[in-house]
Amino acid sequence: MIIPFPPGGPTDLMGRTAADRLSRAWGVQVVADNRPGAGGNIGTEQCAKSPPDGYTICMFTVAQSISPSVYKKLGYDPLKDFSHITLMAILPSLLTVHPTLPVKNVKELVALAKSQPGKLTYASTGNGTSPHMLMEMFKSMAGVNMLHVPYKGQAPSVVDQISGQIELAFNTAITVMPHVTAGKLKPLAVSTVERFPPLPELPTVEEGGVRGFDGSSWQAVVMPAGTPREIVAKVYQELSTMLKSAETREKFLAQGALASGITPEQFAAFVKRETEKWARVAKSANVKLD
Amino acid sequence: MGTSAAAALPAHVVRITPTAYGIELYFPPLRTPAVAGATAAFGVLCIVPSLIATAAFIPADRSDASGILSFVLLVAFSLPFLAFGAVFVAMAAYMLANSLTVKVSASAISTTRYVFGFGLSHREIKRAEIAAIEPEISAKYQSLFDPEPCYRLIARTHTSSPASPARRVVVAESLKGEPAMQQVKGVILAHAGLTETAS
Repeated sequence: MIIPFPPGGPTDLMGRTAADRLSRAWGVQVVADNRPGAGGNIGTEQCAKSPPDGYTICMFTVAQSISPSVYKKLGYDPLKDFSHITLMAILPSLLTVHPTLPVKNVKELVALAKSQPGKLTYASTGNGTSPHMLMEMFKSMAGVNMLHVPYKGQAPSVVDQISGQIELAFNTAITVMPHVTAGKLKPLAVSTVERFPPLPELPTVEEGGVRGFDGSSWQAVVMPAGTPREIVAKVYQELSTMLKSAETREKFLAQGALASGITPEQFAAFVKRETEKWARVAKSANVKLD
Repeated sequence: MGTSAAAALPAHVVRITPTAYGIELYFPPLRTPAVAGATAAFGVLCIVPSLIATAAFIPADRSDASGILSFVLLVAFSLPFLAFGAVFVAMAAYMLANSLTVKVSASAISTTRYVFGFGLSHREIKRAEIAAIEPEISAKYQSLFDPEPCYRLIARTHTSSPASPARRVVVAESLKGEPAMQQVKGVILAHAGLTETAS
């Protein structure tokens, strides 16, 4: 199991959960192998170039559907170089603002941003990352201009948002929930097209007036392209059973994730839609990375 | 939560599958065979005598008074009875063939009715619009031989004014007995983020 991100992060945790499940189901050791670097692209490229013999499984995230649009050179194609197994989980993001910002909802935020073009600042975990791209999509669809402040990681960006140096940001729910509960950050909306089940009262960005807005982080499993269909089906069956169990769903929810388990065909279509969506966002926002 | 509740409900009535944002309830075809059978039987009971009568009434190649009388009796009594019976047989076919798919999330409840695989109707009610999830006894499903009532659940919107009455959407049906009805209602309320007191 190639995990293209460092240990301890959400992708690593989910990958190890999947590896453990497959190990127990098949009676063979599925070894989690962290290969971080270049936003996950190093490990993903190695996965794409691995032989399709059914012995290599890889974690695949939203970053890999963003990468083709923002990196000049990429060693893989997210659609052609993989056998898509399933979407493991969706991690909705919350649009949060500093409590002193005089807005109660998305509509008021858009009005405020339009009245002060280029003045409001938003944080992200880096150029081309999911929080950055979500906010660029928001800016494009809402027709507002805000200043991007990239940070190296989620922790420093949240700290500065709490202190008021940054006015707003998209962050995964699990990251900001403690601060929202403590009143240090004010949630305006959730980034997905459906409301976040643990926060049913919180509207979506789309319900807030930005029609068609739908985006989030997500975690998935793929294998190298050309892996035999029987093996793909076998892996999918096992992961699907795990993802549909109440125990797994509760465990994921505790991490701010919504367990999925869609079929390989549905997941391949999902990756295509995501890749095209982020390509439009990257083009519109002129996001490019070396 | 959804999968443990589904374990107690018969699969031929409802299947509850978790989705990323909530649950999907699938009410499959052939879930009310007894009721459909009784309806079809009644339809056949109407059709058979009217077919016999039609055969008897079809006028011979005559243009006299008896031929005219036969024609009038055919049109006034036999054919309507035949049509009446055919309607009941068609209703029975619909009862057997239709399925209902209900998707529940914290955003909305959406329902799609399928007949022979074709989507017949799609309805959606936003969570904020829901005033209550109310049970109703589907009186037409009750049988002389089985006193246990069959329930359906209706999601009702708030009434904004007398001129715009509340919208009602069927979100569950064919639930035999109050325990099954309460169980499904609880699952829907939980995944829609609604409280029992609100309904």
